[in-house]
Amino acid sequence: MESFFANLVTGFSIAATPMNLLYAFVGCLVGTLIGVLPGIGSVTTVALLIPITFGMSPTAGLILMAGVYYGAMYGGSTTSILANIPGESSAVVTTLDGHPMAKQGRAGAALATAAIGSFVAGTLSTVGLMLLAPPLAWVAISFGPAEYFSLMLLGLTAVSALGGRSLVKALVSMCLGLLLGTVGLDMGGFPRFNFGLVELYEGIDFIIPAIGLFALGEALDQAAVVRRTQLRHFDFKGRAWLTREEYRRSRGPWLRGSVLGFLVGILPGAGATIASFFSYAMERRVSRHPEQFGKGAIEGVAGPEAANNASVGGAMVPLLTLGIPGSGTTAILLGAFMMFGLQPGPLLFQKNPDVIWALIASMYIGNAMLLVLNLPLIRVFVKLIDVRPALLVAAVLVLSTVGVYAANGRTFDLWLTLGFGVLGYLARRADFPAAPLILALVLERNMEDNFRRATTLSDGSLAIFLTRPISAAILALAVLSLFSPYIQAWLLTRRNARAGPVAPAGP
Amino acid sequence: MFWDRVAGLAVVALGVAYWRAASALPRPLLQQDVGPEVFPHLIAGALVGLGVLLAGGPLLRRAVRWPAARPRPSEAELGPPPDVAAIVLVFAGLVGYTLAYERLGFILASALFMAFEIVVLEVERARWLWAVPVVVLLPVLLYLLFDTLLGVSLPAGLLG
Repeated sequence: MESFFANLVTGFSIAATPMNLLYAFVGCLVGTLIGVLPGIGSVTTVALLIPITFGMSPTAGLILMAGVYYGAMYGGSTTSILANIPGESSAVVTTLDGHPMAKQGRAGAALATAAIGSFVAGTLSTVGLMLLAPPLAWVAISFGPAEYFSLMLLGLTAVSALGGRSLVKALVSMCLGLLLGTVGLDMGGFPRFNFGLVELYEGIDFIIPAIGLFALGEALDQAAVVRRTQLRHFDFKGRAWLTREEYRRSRGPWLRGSVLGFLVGILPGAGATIASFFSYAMERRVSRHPEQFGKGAIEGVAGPEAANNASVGGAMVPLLTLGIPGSGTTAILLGAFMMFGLQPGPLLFQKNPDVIWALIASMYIGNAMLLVLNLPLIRVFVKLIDVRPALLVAAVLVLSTVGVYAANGRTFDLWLTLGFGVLGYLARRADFPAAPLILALVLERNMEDNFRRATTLSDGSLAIFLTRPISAAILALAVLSLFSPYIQAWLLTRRNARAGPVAPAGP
Repeated sequence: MFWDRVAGLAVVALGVAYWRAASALPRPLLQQDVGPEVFPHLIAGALVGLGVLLAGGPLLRRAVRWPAARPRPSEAELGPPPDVAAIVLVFAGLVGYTLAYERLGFILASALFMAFEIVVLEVERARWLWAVPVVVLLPVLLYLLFDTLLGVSLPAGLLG
């Protein structure tokens, strides 16, 4: 316990230096600004802003990126409430009651409950992260290559099973990511699948598919509708503030949403979207006025907004302790860690405790900054919703090229990104999720290294993954996670069958 | 449905090609090591299996009465049909932008690219004029921020 506080003090002493405070501030501010822009989700925001950190120290860069991550999560709520445009799937729930509130002229209350809820949730989930991560890292230190391989497989299958509409398509996307990950030098130092191209000798830099699939894919997606849609949103005048009654009604949802969001956030693949949906369902169940939901119930904004911000802290637990990201955004953060030469996992807690604890400390600071920044500045942020979509598409595309070109300074990477952009757009239209691909690509090298080390120990036999009990248990979970959508569907049909003939489910 | 079948067959073809490419990799000298082709073979196998499921999934499902995990998207969820002309123009703009990137330099290429995209995508012509300051200033500011301040090098091109 003593060392625990010592670590936290060290963390704060690093995070609270003027430069690092500035980085946290810039991260939160820019993350919020880009997050507010309609149609830009947090994955794209994080991917677009990675180049800012290229010249920085690992600690400074990670503090900035973490700020961007929760700034973007929060910024999306403004657009959901005022313009009814969720920037990503985790913000969809916020539109259900947030937008009706704006229509009734209660936008100020909706924005305030989202901002305060995000602060409460961000802080509580950082406490959770701080308490849970060190013991988990301590357990994970005994894991061998077989356990690591199985764990990464579980991370991939869980994201695939929960992330998309079609499991088969999600798995195709995952395998494609693994395939792309094998391009370049293998652990024996042999070049593989590089088609003789020098540019592919060291493999595909994760920033290329990250920006291509998400930023370019999103921009092309918007380009496809921009000439045909009219953007309308509600003006926001007055102050973002809560009355005593609104505060009383928000308190419970904030706390419940924080706990739920943190716990769901830990699970790979679940993340912010499921956390926000769970929280909404829970609030409606415990409410004494469930009929108000969908018509502007403040609980329906407070709970889900807290939940999706709390999931950030939850998602950091497996990322930091096991090196396993549970979503597209955390996969990109993992890529950023590796770019700085850091390998998240139990060893990071021993080798670079300063980085970890500075990051944790900066999350407390960043969340407080976000609150102080957002309540007064909200009217400035709202102006960003008015940015013409055409200009937005053009600016996002220009910014995308910066990150890609800056990584290696060659146009070959821009062409590759363009290819990924087209793939990303087609995948969107055809319902293939992009998150499993990026996750698999980032994890591939590590996964294969562990696979080969494990099978070398067993003289080439694959049985080692099943004879080691922890590895076998994790693999069983992975298989179970693959069937979870089917089990769910089967349970639903059974329940419906028992309930007798049901009313037709709408048109 | 039709496109799922096409995609499924493409995935099978990719899996087969990948398997063959992996088999052709040089083996390590130490025989007891697991070679560089083993892991790719597993991925290739999975791709072939998934491709078959994707192409023949609906048929298989009907045969074994396996329930669909999630409902198909409705018309409303899919949104309006895409504006193909806009996508093609944006894509053409990106190709031109990439060609000009190092030749003209970041600032000029970006300004021209943004101007082109806005003319293509902005239907209200009155807004074109409003965009001019952004088109001129954004590339300059980005260049100053990344190249000059953050030390991330961008091509200077004609202005260099």
